[in-house]
Amino acid sequence: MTPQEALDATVSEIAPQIRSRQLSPVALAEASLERLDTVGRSLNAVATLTRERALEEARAAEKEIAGGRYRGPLHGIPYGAKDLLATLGIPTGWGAQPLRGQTFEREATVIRRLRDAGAVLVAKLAMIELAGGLGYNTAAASSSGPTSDPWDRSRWSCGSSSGSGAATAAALVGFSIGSETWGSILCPSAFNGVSGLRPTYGLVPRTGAMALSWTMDKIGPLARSAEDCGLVMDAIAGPDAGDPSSMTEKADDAAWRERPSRFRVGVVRPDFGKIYDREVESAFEEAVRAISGMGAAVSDVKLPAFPYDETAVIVITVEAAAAFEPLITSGRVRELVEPAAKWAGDVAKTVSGVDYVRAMQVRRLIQEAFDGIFEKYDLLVSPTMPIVAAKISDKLEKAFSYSDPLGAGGNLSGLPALSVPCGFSKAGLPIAMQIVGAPLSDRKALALGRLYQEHTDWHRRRPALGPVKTT
Amino acid sequence: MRRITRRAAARLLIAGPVALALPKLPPGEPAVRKLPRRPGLSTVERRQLEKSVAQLKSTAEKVRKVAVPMGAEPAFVFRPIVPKK
Repeated sequence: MTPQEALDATVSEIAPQIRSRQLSPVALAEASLERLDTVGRSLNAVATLTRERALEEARAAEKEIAGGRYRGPLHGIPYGAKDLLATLGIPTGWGAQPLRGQTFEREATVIRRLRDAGAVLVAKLAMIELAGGLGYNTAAASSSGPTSDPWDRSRWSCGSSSGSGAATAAALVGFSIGSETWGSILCPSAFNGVSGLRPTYGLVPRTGAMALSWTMDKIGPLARSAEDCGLVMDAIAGPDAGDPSSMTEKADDAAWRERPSRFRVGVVRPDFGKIYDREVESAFEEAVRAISGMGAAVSDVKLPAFPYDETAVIVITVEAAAAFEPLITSGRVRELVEPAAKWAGDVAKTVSGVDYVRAMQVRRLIQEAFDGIFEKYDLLVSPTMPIVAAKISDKLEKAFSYSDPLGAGGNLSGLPALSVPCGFSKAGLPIAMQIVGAPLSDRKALALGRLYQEHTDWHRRRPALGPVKTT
Repeated sequence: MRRITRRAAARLLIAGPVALALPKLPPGEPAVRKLPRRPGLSTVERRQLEKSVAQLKSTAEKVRKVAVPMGAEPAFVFRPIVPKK
C-alpha cells in the first residue's frame, strides 16, 4: 500500500500496515500534507496547515514503532481538527475573521489525548465562524470562505464542521474531529458521504474547545467508517477535570459484543413535506430494508409533539450570546462575514430569563419522552438530512427551511447519533442515514453502523478529485 | 413544525399534579424586552433586526405554550437522562 493509497483507506486498514512497518508514518504525513496543500486549499477546507508539528509527530511515531512501542490503531495516522480546538503554538481562529491568529496557552484535551494515542495533527480545518453561534445565512460565513463539497465543488460541505467533512471525504486525512451543537457533525457527514459520530453529551471533554452552548456542545469524530469512529472515540472519550460537564460514566462497551442483528430499531419517517428529496427518501427506505434484512426488529416510531426546533433555538441563542459577549460588546462582531451577526446579541437579549428557563423545562420533558421511546427501542433510524448538499450560492434559511425534530430533540437530550452514507443521488451526491441511541449507547449505534457497512459499500466510494500532485 | 396538539396538551395537563399552560408570563416579566437603540444601523438593517426580534418572540411563544407541570426541574444538570436498564 503506497501512502497515497493508504489515504484512501480506513484507519482500521492502514493501522496494521503501520504497525508492521510496511507503511511509514512520515511518508503518510507528507502525502497528507501535500493533498491538504493542493486539494484541501482548493476546497477551502484548511484553516492552518500544521506541517512542522505533523512531521515532528510522524518522525516520533516512526521511531517509536521501529523501537517496538506501538501505541494503538491511531499511531502514525494523520488527522485534522476543527479550528475551535486549542493547539499549542498554532493559531485557533474559530473560523472568525476578528479572531484570526488567536492562540492559547493550553492544548485542548482531545488534541492531547490524540497526541498520546500517537495520531499526527496535520491541519486545523475550516469551519463556519463561531460554529454559527451568532447565526449565518450563507456558506461563505467563514474566515476560510465557503468550503466546497468534494463530490461537487459547486455544492456546500455543510457546517459548521465544514473542513472536517470535506477533508475526510477527499481523503486528505485519515480522520478528523468536528463538533456539534445542532447538526454540525451530522450534516457535514451526510453531505460529504462520510461516517460521523455525535457522541453522548459529556462523553468527550470539551476542555480547550470554543464554547457556543455549554449545555449542548459535543465533540466527535468524522471518519471513513463507523469502525474508525469507534477507534477515535476510544482515544478521546472519558472524564476530564477541566470540563465539569464531562461524564464519569462510560459508553456501553458491551454493545460491541452484542449482536446488532437483534436490535429493536425504530424508524422515524420525518414529515419533511415538499422539501423531502424523493431520492433521499428512496435511499433511506432501501437502508431500512437492509437493516431489516440483517435480522433487526424494525418498526415505525412517531415522535411525540413538542416544539423541538423552537426549544433548541431559545437555548442556543441565549447561551451563544453569553458565550460571545466579549466579541459583541467590543463591537468586533461587526468584522464577521455574516451581516446579521452584528445585532445577534441585541436579538438574544430580548429573550427573558423566564423564557430560557421555560425552554430548559420543556427540554426536560423532551428528554423524558426520548427516555420512554428507548424503553421500547435500542436505536432509531432516520434520514440524516432530507436533502442532498445545498448549492454554495443558496440562501441557507431557504435551503434548510424544514423542521428537524430528531436533530433538535436529539441534541437537546444529549443523544448519540451516527451518520452513515446510504446512497447517492442521480447527480452523484451522497445521501445518509442517522442512527440515534439513548445516552451512552454510542457503541450500539456504532455496532449497527458497522454491521450496515459490512453489508453495503456506500462508505467505500470516494469523490473523483482529478490529478493530485504527489511527492 | 410539529406543534403540540390540544389533545396532547390536555394529556400533559392531566398527567401533571399541577399543571400550567402559561398563556401569559408572570407579572413583571415582559415577553420580549425592549430593543435598545442601536446607532450605526441603516434603515434596512434596523428592519432586519426588528424582523429577527419578531421571529425570536414568536419562537419563545411557541415554547411558552407547552404545558409544563409546576415544579418540573429544568434540564440544568447539563447531563442527559440515562434510561434505567
